[in-house]
Amino acid sequence: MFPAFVRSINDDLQKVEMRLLNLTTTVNHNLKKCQGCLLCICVCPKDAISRGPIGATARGDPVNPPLARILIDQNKCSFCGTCDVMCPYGALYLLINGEHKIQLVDEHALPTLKYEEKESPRLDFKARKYCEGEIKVNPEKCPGGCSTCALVCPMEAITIPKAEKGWERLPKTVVDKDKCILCGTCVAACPTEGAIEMHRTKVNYEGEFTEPFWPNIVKKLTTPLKSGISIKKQIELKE
Amino acid sequence: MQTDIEEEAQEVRVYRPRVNMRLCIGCGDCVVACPINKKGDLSIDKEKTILTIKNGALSIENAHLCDGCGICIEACLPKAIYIEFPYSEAK
Repeated sequence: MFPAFVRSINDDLQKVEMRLLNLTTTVNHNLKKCQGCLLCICVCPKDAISRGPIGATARGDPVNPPLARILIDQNKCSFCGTCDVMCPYGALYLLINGEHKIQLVDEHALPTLKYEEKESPRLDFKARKYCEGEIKVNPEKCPGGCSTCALVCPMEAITIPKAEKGWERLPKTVVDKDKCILCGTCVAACPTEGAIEMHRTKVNYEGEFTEPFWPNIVKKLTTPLKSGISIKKQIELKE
Repeated sequence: MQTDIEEEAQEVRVYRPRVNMRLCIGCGDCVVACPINKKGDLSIDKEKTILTIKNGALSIENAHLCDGCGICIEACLPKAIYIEFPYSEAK
């Protein structure tokens, strides 16, 4: 059947490919760069991306190593490149016949994002921050002891303080708001319902865009999110 | 307390935790470590429990609730637990 859709996962690349005559379009997902923030799930217009085991990927599975933080459905993907533009870590990229080219940007359907680049000791590249908003940790809901949020945070904004003296009572988690880029990795990875809440209030962009494609994406991005509940369902229910 | 939103919020997960019965020694470390087992107010709800020890070995129920944090893999000494990814219902 034409076109042919193929998905393959190897050690550091997940590849979704569409082949039609001499045209090969691929969405490449770099497993090493991807941090599992699930921002791509929020922005994907075709609902083609599913959540993978985020914490287990960060910890590493010795029995079944090729784990990925997201799974792209090759039959749902429309190869538009929205995830390529929006990914804060540059993990997703769209190639048409080997060239990096996004039609949505060329035709001004998506505006230019105004972002600041931030460095982190954990990353060997720079992460982009283009959202503004708030992040809140509810310590009374956190059962404690799993420390997945501190493990997965790519910017090292969440830390779990250790008491030096036995009688000290410290908060379970501390968020450094200057380091946080509001990607949402902690919200995606936290298994407890409502322990972390995040609300992106503003997306910084400039330039022209088309209605209603881009306003829909902004609306999805600015939905308040809670941990422990499916992000897809939270976005759908709010619409 | 369960609202309609919480009931609807079960998404189709693309991975499942699995246990290798040849290696499992039934120690129960993973049962204690799993954060879904002791959700919220530390009470145990049977419908929301993923890992239980039955007849001396680990049994996995409600696998669709697994959040994929990987604590059980780390806690397991004989490396009996692994995650199947990508998992498909059709298999």
